[in-house]
Amino acid sequence: MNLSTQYATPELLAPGGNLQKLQVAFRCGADAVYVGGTVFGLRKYADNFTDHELRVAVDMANSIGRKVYVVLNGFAHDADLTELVAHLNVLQTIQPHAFLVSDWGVAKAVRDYTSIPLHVSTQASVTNIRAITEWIAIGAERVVMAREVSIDDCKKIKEALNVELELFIHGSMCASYSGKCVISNYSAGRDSNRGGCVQSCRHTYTIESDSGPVSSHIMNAKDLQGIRQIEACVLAGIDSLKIEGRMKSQLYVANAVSTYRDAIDAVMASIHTGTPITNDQVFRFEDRLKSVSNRQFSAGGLSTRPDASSINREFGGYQKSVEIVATGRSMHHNRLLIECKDVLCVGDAVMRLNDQSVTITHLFDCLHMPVDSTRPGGLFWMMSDSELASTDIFVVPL
Amino acid sequence: MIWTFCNSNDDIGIAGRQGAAGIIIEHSRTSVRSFVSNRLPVSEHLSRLVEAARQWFSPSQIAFNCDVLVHDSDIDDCIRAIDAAAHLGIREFRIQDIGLISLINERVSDAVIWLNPEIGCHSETSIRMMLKRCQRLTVGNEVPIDTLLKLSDLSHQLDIQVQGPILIQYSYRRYIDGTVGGHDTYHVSASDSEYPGRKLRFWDSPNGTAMFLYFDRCLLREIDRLRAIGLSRWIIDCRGQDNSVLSRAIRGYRDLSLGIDLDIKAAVDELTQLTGRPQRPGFFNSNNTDQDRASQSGDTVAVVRDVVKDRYIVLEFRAPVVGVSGKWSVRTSKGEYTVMEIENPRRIADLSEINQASVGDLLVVDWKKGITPKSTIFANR
Repeated sequence: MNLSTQYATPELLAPGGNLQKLQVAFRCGADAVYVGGTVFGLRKYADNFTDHELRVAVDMANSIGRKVYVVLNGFAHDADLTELVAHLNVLQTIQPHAFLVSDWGVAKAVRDYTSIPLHVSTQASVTNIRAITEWIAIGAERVVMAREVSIDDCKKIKEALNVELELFIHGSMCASYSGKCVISNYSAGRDSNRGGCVQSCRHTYTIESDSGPVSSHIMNAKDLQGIRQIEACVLAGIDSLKIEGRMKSQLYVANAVSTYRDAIDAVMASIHTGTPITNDQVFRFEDRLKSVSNRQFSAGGLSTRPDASSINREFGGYQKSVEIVATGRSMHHNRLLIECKDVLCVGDAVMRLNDQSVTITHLFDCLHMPVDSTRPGGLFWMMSDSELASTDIFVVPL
Repeated sequence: MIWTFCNSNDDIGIAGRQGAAGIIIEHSRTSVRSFVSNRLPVSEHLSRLVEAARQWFSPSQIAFNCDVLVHDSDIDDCIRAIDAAAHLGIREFRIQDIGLISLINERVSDAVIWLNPEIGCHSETSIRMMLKRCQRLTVGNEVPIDTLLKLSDLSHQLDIQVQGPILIQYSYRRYIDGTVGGHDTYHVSASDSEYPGRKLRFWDSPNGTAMFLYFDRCLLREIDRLRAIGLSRWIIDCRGQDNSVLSRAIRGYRDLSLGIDLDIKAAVDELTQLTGRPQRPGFFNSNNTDQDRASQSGDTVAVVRDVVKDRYIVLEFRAPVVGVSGKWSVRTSKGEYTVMEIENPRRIADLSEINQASVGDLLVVDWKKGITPKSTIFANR
């Protein structure tokens, strides 16, 4: 049997918090990127895409054979739907490659006003074959399974139904079933399921017990990391592996996407050749992922029901071994325009994400006047002792 | 009109004596928040409940609650529970997992599918669409009266939780127990460090953890508005609480539903005392969450990426613009609205003059007082 034809390479689906992150994701190997518009995504505090930016993003994706999915995955209230219909008419002209929805009313509007494929968001908490069948009946072509559904269960679903399945493989996780939490609504007056989640699950909770109060982060879910589960996903026929994080940095996007790109390619090569991936390879992938800010990792519900080890109860801060200090924007002659996250000075050595070190030789402000140092949040032109590229992301080890 | 949850003969006795119109019975295996751990098999447990209910309720006045999110490995348990309920003459099945719709319809040809509030339908459109697939729906606690008033033609299919704890989270994880195979259950109180003094309740069972708000939903004070929307059932949920709460709650709402005078303040005070929690309407009267959404919806033209006082501002364009120079509306990062006159726009690369921009372009313009980084520029000049 030819395994290379039996098992398809899953799509690598990355977060696109804004146009730059979308470009980073494509450049690092994402097959598709999911983005939010200014109407009705779940990450209200991400930059999100204007209609014009969406058009640019879709055109860009089409030109390189990639895809852009637009999230419309909140639970709509009446006012949202009024606004949404006008937005859908615009999106129909832009033709993103799919919409992600979780609300039946939104799904109906998508069906009524567009011809764009419908994907069911993890917010819908789909956990079984029959629930998928209900969504297929109203036009869904793909379902993002609840993060509590194991790969084994997905395999059975794929055997039973002709539907595309998408699984989260990496990133932050809701402690609850996604879409089944309204804490923020009542605690902060912000709708958890319309982009306003204040992440109350990350707080410390004091439990009253017989032996006195006990404080811990009782529902602070560790981040999902599924490097070791990629092969099982491929063998189960999962169509798309998704990285969470539209609110996260370019560094996170670049690191996660490039690592999973390499890991998926390695797994496919391993399947084709029959040569198992070595532990060293796996450790290297995991080390790469660990280097960028995280809450420690678990495999979530990918293999088994998540237990106590999936919660970081004694959270003492984010884990990371590098910190982002600047990201490249564009080149002009030998100068790189950088967006600074920290103070950089002439003479500083910084590392590229690929471990190459460069030394800053000159800095200029946006009027091209020389400066000695930068400001966090500022835009500056930089020259260095080695060739620069607009795609550079600079970090410093911690 | 008044329906309530019953998991024991005592509950049923109270519901019957106090005048409930119907009961929702359940077994802990298939209930997210039963607050008990039923030892008997589902069929035997349900059989005993139905027998106890015979004195007050016919099978048509009994619904079976099966509100877990179902993993495929749980389907057989659900089938056994549904069959057991159907065998006892029960035809109404209360669920939150739409996957159970087809299953129940296959097993019980004349079943009434009753969706619980966690189904996630908060708009008129969503509710109407869901009611094409099911026969009954308890509206979510986050749905305000304005939406319910638009659904008056469906009021016979809609009901509302008038009293009881507000479920604010349902997790497959067991926050307190931490294991995945254990059968122990835990009912604990905890407070969020950000909101000390607010006692949140957690029910941790083999089905996962249900988390409840620090106040109860109570619509006694809203009785006139509640009557105005004319929903067919009022749901009282007193699971996990003393029987005196169930008794007081049913009696109060029953009296009001029958037009009997009730000292509402005294009734609310009594419920407050009995439950130890404030009694509030929640989002029944209005739901103003997410009001700042509108601020994102304008026609954004550009955002301010950098500001150097007395020298320059850098704008990143998020829409194509012909004629950059001129006056524009701006929302500052502090949320204040002002007008900015853009002068002397130049390309960031070589500072050559330009008066148009494409998506993604960075232009340097003259500094203006009051314009802060992350301010947004809108199309309506």
